[in-house]
This record gives sequence, structure tokens and C-alpha cells, in this order.
Amino acid sequence: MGQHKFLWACLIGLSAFFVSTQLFAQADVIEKRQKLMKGQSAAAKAIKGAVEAKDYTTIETKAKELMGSSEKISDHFPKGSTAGKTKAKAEIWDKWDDYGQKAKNLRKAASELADAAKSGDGAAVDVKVKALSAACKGCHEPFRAEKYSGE
Amino acid sequence: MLEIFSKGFYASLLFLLSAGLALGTAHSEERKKDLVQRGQYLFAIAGGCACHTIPDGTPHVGGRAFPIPFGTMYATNITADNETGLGSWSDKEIRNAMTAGIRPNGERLLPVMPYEAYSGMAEEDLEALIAYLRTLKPVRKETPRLKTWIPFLRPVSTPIWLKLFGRFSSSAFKAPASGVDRGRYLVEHVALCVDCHTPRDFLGVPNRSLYLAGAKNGPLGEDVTNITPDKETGIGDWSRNDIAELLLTGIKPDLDNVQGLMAEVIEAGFKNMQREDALAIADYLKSIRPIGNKIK
Repeated sequence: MGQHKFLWACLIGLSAFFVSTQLFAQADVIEKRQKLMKGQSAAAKAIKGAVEAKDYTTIETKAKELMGSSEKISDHFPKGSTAGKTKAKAEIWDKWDDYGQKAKNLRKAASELADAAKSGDGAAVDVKVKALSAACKGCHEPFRAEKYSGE
Repeated sequence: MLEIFSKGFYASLLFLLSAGLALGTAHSEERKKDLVQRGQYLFAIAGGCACHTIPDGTPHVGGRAFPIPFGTMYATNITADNETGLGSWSDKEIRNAMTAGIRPNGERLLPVMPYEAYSGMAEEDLEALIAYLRTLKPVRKETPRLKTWIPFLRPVSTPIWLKLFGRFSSSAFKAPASGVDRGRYLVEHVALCVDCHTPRDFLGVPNRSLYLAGAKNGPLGEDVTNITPDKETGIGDWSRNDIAELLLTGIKPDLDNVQGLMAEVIEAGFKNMQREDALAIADYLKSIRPIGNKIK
């Protein structure tokens, strides 16, 4: 009898350990992707400021930064990583292909902006900055909730 | 006596009277057209009265639910339908509802309808807005009745609340034309930024010490941003152009988009604001007291 109790205790303990590691892993990936998004926000803000200053070098640099970070987006959204403080909507995984395409759209918009900045064409830069903003919105609207989960 | 005047005289008189009447009518029609056009613009600055539209639903027919501490209230049908909208109301009755919160049958509107704020709308703006409301295509849709566990919420509790906490304004004939004064006027009495961006207590009383400093769990449960010029928690590092751009496009300085109710009012109306008015609002927002209040 004592042996059964011991085995049950081990089983419950292992399960708790397993669940907690998963929760910690999820919290970790949520924190990482929020950091990724904050980085993208900072790069986009730098681009906006650089447009006004006609600083095309900075625009090109930051746009390339966005190209790189956009390639990492999907990796930061493993299936079902919703346990924690997140605005990620379930639709991300219901429409995974569409979600992936949005990240590709962002990369494309950033790439075209980098090219426009490299050319020094102010009018083209203006157009591509608007397109970049539209790419951000294109993903946020369907896949980002207004509030953090649990609030 | 009348014989001293010739037929030609009377014919001329008749012609002049007819011409006068025609010109008067044409002038009146022209004035009405201008009024409606101005009203349409004010409607846009008022966010298209988006509260009266269920998202993705038929515009302006009401029915949108607003949970309140004491139950649920529903925005009304503001189309020109005679039975369920404003069609059978006189201008004076619409004005009374909009600025005093009283329906033609004497029923009180809950102060969720921002009639306190609209009480400060300029007379000529109110006239124009009402003229435009009358042009909204009539759509028949009954508004659900208020659901509350408090008896006599409208006839008793509401007047008491207004007596204790209500803040009505006097109304000038003409609105300020430009600058910070116009910005303040639009923020307080037309675009109604104060309504959402100033937090309220559990009784729904705005906390003016946190004027425009944002609200957790604001209207419809959304978190509302701090739009004071506080650098840490508000929009202190935004330029006036940044603020104007947000009002006109919904895009922030980091190219991110707003969502929720703010996105709705921009889409329903703010996007049609003239840039000068968006900048006036921006200038006013940059002139007010910065308040540290972290929302997100």
C-alpha cells in the first residue's frame, strides 16, 4: 500500500514538474516574442523619425533590421503558446499559413523600403513607409487582440 | 381705389413677389445644403457617432450594448425613421436629448450618452449636426430596453447623479475657429476625447485629476491610452504631426495601428477631419498638464 502511495506521489510530482516546465517555456517564448515586437517598434519609430530628417542611411539600416526580425516571427509563435500574458489570438494557429504570409509581407515591405532608401528617392520612401505600416496592420488586425489574455 | 393701378402694375407686383419667393426659397435651400454639409463634417469629428453602430452592422441604427455598473444599456437608433429613430422628433427635441439628456416623452437618458459634453457644443454647430442627422437614411430598428437591477434608475437615480456629479457647459453661438481654443473645444465638446481617455470611478464619475490620462477597463472594457504630454506614460514624445496623423490614419509614430474603439471612431469619422482641426486637437493635447499614469 505504501508503495502505491509512493508511486502515485512520484507520478503527480512528475506531472506537475512537466506542466510547470511547459508553462515556464511558454512564458519564456511569450517574453521573447514581445521583445521581438518591441524591437520592431523601435526600428519602425526610427524609420519614421529618419523620414522627416531625410536620413536615408538610417532608413535603409532599420529597414534591413526589420527584414531580419520578420523572418523570426513565426518561430516565436509555437502552437498553442497562449498560456500567459499575451495578445496573440487563437486565429494565428487556426490560420497558420495566412499568418506566415503576413510575416513574409512584412519582410517584402521592409526590403522594398530599404531599396527605396538606398536610391535616395524621397517620394518612393514615403510610399514604401506607408506600405510598411500597412504590412504591420495587415497582421495586427486579424491576429492581435485588443487586450492581454486574462484581463 | 384699386382702379388707379393698372393691370401692368399688378402683373409687375406679382412678378416681383414670385421672384422674391423663388430667390428666398433658393437661398433657403442653399443655406440648408450648407448646413447639412457642415453637419456632416461635425458628425465626422464626432467619430461618426460610432457608439450608435454595432461593428460591421448597419450604421446608426443603435442596439449596441454598453455594460454599466448597474446593468446594460443600449445605444439608440439615430436614423430618421419615424417610429424607432429621430424622424418624428422636432429639432428642439433632438437638441434637448443631445444637450440635456431628456427624451420627448420626458424620459432621462443615462449620462453614458455624453449630453453633458455636447451641452458645450456651439449653437451653430448643433444646428448643423441636427440638420445632418435628419438626412440619415431611415432604418426601422427598435432599441432594446435598458436592463438594470436598480429600480427607477432613469427617473430618480439619474437626476440625483447629475445633481451631484453632472458637469454641463454653457454654449457659445460660434465655435472657436482655430488654434488651441478650437482644439480644446473639439476635444471637450465634439470629438469627446475626454469621455474615453479620462478614467471614471465605479459610479461612472470622471476623475478630472487624471484628465485625459487614460483608463484601465474603460468603455467596453478596453484599456484607453494616456494622451497627456507625459513623456514616460503619455504621448509627450509625439510631435503635433504625429498626433494629427494618428487621428487621420490610426497609425502611431512607430507605424503600429490603433485597434478597438479608437480604430472605429477613426474609420467612422476622424479620418475625414480636416488636417487643421487634427492639428488644433494636437496643439491642445500638447498644452495640457502632463500626468504620469501608466496604462499599458
